[in-house]
Amino acid sequence: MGGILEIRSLSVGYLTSSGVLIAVNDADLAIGGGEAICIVGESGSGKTTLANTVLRILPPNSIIISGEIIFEDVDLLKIEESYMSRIRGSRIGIIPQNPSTSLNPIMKIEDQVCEFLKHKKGVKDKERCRDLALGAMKKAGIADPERVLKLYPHQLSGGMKQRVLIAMAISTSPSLLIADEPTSMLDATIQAQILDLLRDIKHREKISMMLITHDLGVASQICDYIYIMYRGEIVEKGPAMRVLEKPLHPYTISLMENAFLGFKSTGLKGRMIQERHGLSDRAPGCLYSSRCPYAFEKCFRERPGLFSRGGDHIRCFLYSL
Amino acid sequence: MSRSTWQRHISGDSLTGLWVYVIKRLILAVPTIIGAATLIFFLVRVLPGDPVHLLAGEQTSPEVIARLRAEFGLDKPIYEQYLLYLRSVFMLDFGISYRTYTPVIVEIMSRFPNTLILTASSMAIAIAIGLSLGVLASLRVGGIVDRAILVFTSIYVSMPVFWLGLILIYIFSINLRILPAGGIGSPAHLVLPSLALSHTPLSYIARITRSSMIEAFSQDHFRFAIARGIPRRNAILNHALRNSMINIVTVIGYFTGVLLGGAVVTETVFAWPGVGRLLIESIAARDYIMVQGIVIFITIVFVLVNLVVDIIYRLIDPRVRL
Amino acid sequence: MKSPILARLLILTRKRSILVALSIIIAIALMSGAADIISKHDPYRIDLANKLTPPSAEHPMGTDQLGRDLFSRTLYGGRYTLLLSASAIALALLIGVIVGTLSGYYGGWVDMGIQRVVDILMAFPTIILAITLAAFIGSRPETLVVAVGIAESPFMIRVIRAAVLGVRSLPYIEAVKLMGYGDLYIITRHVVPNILYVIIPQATLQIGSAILVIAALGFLGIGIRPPTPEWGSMLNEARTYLMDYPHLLLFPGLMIFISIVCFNIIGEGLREIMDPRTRMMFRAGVRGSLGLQRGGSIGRHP
Repeated sequence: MGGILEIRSLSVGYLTSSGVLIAVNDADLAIGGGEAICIVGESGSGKTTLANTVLRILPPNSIIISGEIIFEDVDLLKIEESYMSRIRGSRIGIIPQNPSTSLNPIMKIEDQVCEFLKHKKGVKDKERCRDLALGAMKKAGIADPERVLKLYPHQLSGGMKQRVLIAMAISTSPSLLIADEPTSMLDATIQAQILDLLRDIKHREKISMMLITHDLGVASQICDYIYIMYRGEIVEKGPAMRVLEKPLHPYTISLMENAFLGFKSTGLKGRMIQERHGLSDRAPGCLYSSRCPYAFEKCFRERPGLFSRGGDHIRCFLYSL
Repeated sequence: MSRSTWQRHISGDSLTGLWVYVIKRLILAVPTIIGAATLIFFLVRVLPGDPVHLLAGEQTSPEVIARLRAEFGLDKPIYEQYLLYLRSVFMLDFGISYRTYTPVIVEIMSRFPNTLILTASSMAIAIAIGLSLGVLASLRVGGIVDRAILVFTSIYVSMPVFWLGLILIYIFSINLRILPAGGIGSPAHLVLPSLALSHTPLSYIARITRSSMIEAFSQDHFRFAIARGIPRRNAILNHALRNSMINIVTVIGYFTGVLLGGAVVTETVFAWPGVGRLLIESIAARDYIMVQGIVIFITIVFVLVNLVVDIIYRLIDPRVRL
Repeated sequence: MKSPILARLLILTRKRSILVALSIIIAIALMSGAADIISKHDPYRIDLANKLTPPSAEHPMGTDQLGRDLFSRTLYGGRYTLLLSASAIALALLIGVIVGTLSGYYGGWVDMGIQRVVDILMAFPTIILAITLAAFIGSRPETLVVAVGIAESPFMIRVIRAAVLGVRSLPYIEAVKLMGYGDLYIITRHVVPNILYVIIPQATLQIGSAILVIAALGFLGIGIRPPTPEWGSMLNEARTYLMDYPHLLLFPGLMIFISIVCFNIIGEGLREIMDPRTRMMFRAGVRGSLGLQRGGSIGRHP
């Protein structure tokens, strides 16, 4: 499978009044054709920053410290904004987190979709736009798209709005779809439907996906490969099956314990965690050490690199040999 | 009614829904107008001095006084006067002017087109320049352009319109001699009064545009439009400006109402024969029937303008419908 | 309680623009008040031999069409403009506080009735209202104050009512009510102090509006009339002589303009300072500038 996206040594920070806050630290990531990867982490882990960097929609106080983002043989960090603007939506699609606020409340669905198609596929003709829109919406599982097109966003349910957004995203047949917490604002039953839909789209349209989520349960349903992020660093990565069955990094283990009841850890000897003051970025030692039940003396002194064990990569001294 | 027609009614898409709303609002406007008319009625009668005596002038013979009284219905008991008055208000018959002996409504309507033209051109200037300045400022928030525009609007709005008008006359009519100083007749006559009158709405429109746009830029749907690759210029137009129009139209509507009724000072400065000047002339001449009629007329206009603004509101923002 | 007031005054010093504007207004007020000391000439004295002269050493602003000294007329005129506007807004404030508080606090029929009346009053543009009232109740200074005061009240009532509604629903007011205190006590000791941050800036801003209206009435000949010096009516007199003697136009208009700008700046600044959300920032700054410790003290004060 050819590589669609490759991120090498990416570091991104934000300029604040107290210096540079590093949001993403030396991240490496790869997505192949038709492959779905999940980036899992809590808020503040840098996962959204990572996704936004790919699309280059970072706020003005951000700074890209180093790295490359190679998409279809082009380094996205080096191209002009006008070129990037053309790529957005047409080659890289995006599914937003909050469907209720992502659509313009005073425009009909039809108008918004056709505006998008006009700019992305040069569709000027109303008829043609309708055909394309209807097609995409059917693929997104909308049963009565003719009716939906005439409506305004507030007249649709959350799940329906998300389907519309998904339809819009796939209507241009992009190579990569970035979805930032696409289900976190939806009810549980709808969540499941949308995840099924995304999985379906992945198989049928063979679109690669980058899914951002804080929920391992969500990740388990769609992804082929999982990246776990903690405070800006990728702490574990591996095939989804493996990560979910046998999580290796202590953080991943805690995520699993929280996500799935009755999950038993690997049996490593743990200890009670003492409350420590939050460490700043500059403190020595592993960033997770203050919360880690398995931390030992070296963990507080040195920063672990990404150690490989078999086909897996873990940022933890437990796995350094 | 078939199911889909019923659905359309609920969603407010049908034209009938809109008409129903208009009628509803018109009906609601009636008490306001009655209230205002009542206020004027009692205010006029509270005034010191008997208008009849003023009218009669030197002739103070009792027969003349009595005749005048009867002519203007001032000899009837107060509640009867009130009811007759209300009735006449709704027939838009405001009575006969003390001064000119012509029907008040005729006088007003002969001047009203002039006020309309002045209002229209002033608002056109205010909207064109105000909107542009507001959008410009919002695109460069915190920068020099933005701060300059903010300072300019604050200062510009604080200028008394009569001072501004006189200054304009001095510069353009007297010094440069390129524009007439007053009166009516050609498009050139319209320039200075419109410029002067537009200064307040222009400043407010610029301000509200700026703040609405800044807010629109922080909205999710705008950022998402950029994120999905809508070109920046189109996103600003369709997803920021369009959404800001709701607030901007409110301000535009408010000032249109104010200008239609309240351009008194500007019309005086530029000798523009509109309703405002008529009001001043009538006050000076103690023509209280005329004053009464003008004030009610202005109220009705104001209320109607607000109604129109409300309707436009509904057309722009589908969430508010029904 | 003296120290919060002192703290507030100190806060004023943080905004340079307010200080500048405030000093200008105070300067104008002082100069108008001391007009009889400062100006050499009687503002009413006619001197046809010296009419329409441009600014000179003898007459710093020149003379008008009747040879009267413009400088002294401007100074005296300030008295009327400032005094009348302040009084009118004081009246509007009184009406606004009473009506707005009653309306907002009691709600129900009282509120609805009052709101209908306010709606009706707001159906007229302010200047029309002022002109109509002035036309009917007269152009003496006292009646002008009443006319303009009433014309400016509807807006004040609306603003105050909205603020009262906001405070009314606070749990702390409910608590005080439960403790058995009477309504009047609650209103005067608990509601009003809590809405001061709205009332004071609003009143300041509306003084600017009142100045404009009074000057406009003077200009139209419905307000203060010549020979009494008043900036608006002076501008009206300047009209006839505009062509050859523009200096008549300059100073009265400038004074009106500057006064309005200053009150606007002060009003906007006050609004920013007194807004409880931003007050914390200023609090921290004041404590810092008073040499007290920074950091942890912010959260501790109610």
